[in-house]
Amino acid sequence: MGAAWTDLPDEGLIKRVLAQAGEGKADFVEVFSQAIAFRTFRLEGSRVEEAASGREVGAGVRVVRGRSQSYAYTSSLTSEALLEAARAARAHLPPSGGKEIRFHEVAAGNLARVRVPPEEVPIEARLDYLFRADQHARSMDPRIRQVRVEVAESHSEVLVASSLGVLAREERTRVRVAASVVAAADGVVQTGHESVGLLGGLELLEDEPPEKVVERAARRAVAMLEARPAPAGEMTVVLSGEGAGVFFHEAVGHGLEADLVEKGASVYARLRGKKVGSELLTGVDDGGLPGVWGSFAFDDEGTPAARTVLIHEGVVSELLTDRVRSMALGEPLSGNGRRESYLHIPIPRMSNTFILPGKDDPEEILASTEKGLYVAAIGGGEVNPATGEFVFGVTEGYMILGGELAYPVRGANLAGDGPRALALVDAVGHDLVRKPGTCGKNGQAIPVTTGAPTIRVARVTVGGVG
Amino acid sequence: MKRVGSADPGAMLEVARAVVEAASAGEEVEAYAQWTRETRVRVSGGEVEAFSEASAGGVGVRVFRGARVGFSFTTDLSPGGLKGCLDEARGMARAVPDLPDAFLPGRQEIRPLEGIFQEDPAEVGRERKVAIALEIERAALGSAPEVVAVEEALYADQVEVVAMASTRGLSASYVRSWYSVSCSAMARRGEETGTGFAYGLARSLGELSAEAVGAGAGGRAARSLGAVKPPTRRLPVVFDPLASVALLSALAEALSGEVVEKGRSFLAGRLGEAVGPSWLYLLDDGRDPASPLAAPFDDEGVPTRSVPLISGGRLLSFLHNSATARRAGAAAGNARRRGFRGIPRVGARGFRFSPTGPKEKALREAAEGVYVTEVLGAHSGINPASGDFSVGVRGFLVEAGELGQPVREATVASPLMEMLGGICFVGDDLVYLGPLGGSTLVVAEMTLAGV
Repeated sequence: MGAAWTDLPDEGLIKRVLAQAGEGKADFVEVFSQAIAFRTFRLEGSRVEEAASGREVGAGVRVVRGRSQSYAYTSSLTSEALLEAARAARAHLPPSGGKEIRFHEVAAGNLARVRVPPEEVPIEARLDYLFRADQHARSMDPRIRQVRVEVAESHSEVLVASSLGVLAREERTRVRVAASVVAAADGVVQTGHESVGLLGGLELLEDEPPEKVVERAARRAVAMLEARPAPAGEMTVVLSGEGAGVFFHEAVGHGLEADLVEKGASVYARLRGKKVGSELLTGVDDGGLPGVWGSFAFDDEGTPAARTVLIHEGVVSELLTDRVRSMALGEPLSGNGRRESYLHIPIPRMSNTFILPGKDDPEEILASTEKGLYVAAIGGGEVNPATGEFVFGVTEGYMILGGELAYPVRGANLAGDGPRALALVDAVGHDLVRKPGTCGKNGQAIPVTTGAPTIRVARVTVGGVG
Repeated sequence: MKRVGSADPGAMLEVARAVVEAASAGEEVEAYAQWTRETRVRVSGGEVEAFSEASAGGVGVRVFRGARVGFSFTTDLSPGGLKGCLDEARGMARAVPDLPDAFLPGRQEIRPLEGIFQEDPAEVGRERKVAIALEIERAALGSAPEVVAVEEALYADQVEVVAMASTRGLSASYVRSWYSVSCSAMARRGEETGTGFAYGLARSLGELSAEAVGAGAGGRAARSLGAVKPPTRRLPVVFDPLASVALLSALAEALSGEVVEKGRSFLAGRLGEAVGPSWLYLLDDGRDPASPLAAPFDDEGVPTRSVPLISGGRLLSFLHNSATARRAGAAAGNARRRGFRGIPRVGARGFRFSPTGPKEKALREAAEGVYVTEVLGAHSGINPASGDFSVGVRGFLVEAGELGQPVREATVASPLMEMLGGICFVGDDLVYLGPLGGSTLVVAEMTLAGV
């Protein structure tokens, strides 16, 4: 599926496009070009419901003046299409007329650690993986009614160049497996999910055997069949590493994205340098981890990925920036200017975001909790960064009674205020779980990793019916 | 086919036909070609924050070798690109096992659909588009003294061409366009921040009011200040039109024939049963021009129509594409894909309840309850398989039929089956958010959780 490097425009054409886009009259102009190949295989109802592939090329030209950006894209990489996009992006600016651009930061990167290149693996190997997963799940428990498993691969080649002298190329290969299992008994229907993914190749299918992946999803679905309706009201909540990772991404990470901070649309803007959380708590974003799902060598503006400390021992610390926000706020470039594809303008986004492990024994955290809710998995959530409000749907939860998991509960969610919840964290485990996910913002979906140790929050509103 | 405004359906139909004409003996081929041009203007602080204008197109190809189906898409519409895409799809079809009941629908008579292309966005000047976005922001900032900033004031338009061809004789296309404006405003009092959102979508620019959307968002943000966490209890819940979309979205998924046949719907196996009050009527009208997804044919080329899903409170039908329809012994016409990049699945196009009265009556109907203006966490808190509905909300308490204290950090929850049974009012204030037509809805009793 490797779309060749030669598909992308050469340096000479890029310089012509940048000149056409009005360099000299703008703060900077930029060309982002991309060639992507996709493959998806999905099994459901014990049959292959989808065998799909696709190829897409395109480029976007951006002209930036102060806080103002103009963007035009094209799903063609011909010189005519690129020059036309440059004219459209330039809007009312005259062309600069041949001023020479020197690329002084030229680099190529690839953080994918591909051991098994997808194009060398026959389709049948993927189908075999899907059928093995299906058979295994169905053999586990007679209450399992439905199995959906999907293998999704993408290979993207990116070239970004700007009048600031950056010229970066990168190859990104990602593979993800997602399983969803439905169990039913006595009119109750429950679903369990599990997914694994990496910045790498089809070695994922060997490293994560189908039986193992689907078993985790199936166990969840079956466990939840016995669930009682969730309680409603405030209580102590223990979050597993998986749950806490999503919590941190939503309730803290988004609030430190510099576009929201710049607009005063983040509750964290006024809290920088202040201690809001327990000193047990340190959280970072790091896009530069080789082989990890949410990683990249360069962000989608050509800035190298780096580690950014978001919360340092409870104190609100650094911001996630892109180039425009970095210039506007006078904040360092953190390497978080990301976009879904050439169809979009980059904005500040997370990459791999996680709470660092603390000192507490995760089992002890649970054992020392008299009564509360244990959140094993969160299906997702939503946050209003301006007010700090958050809501998370609990897909696997258990009542804690006397320091033990007493029974599963269904239909629960968590609602509250981000900074206040951080202040109420009273235990951080020494474990760490990382999960691949997809984050949506302004209509753009990008791969991210969430991760955390087990944590406990003294008081959170649990929304249920009981 | 001649040009329609700035769009050229003839060119896309040629692309689709070129793919189909290259079909070999022993295979059936379908091509879905799509071209879009869009403008987006985002303003902030009186200046244009982002102006984007662009077009993109591609084709998605399905190849059937007997009951084996493969799919591939490409943005390369050159002869070589189309041939490569067809070969990719063939390769997929060769590798997979049979997919029972998969077939390419035959040619059917397609009635044209008026009203989905009214005004060409290309005819509207850039300056006017920017002026509209600035007007939204101005109206929001001027709506109340507490409104301090506008997080986002957005103008958007789109023209789209869809053209389909197949070896079963399909050859058809349509052009549609829409305009939308939206606004997220922020209000502040002391350390407290409140937010408000408003939105509008129409086929012609004259039907949209930048002023109303800006002022609506600003007013909501200001009114939400002073919000408290309400006490936990059971009460009637009023959803405003945008908030009601959370419920519609869960129902649209649960009514998808694809979801039903996979046992992932709480409505599976309930055809013919009473699921709501005896006056309740829910339909999917693929030909309602007010919905941005309205089209003369679905994404497999099957003519669209209005499908009654719940009538007289009884569950009458599910939504189907050709494969799920064949398995269920029902009618197709509800195939939907994510543009040229996706295979046809099942989806709604104009999904709404029939109204029972003017929206003003909703608060009286609820008497003592909560009025929900914003839903948080809908995709994680609603489970169409288990039938659980539990979402975060922002809004107001309703006291003696009037809006009272604003509330935040609260959730409302109920089994979806009880929500359907408990619907006691549907307002006449229809607003489409994509294919889902929201309106003011009152549910007789749900659990509100706060402190």
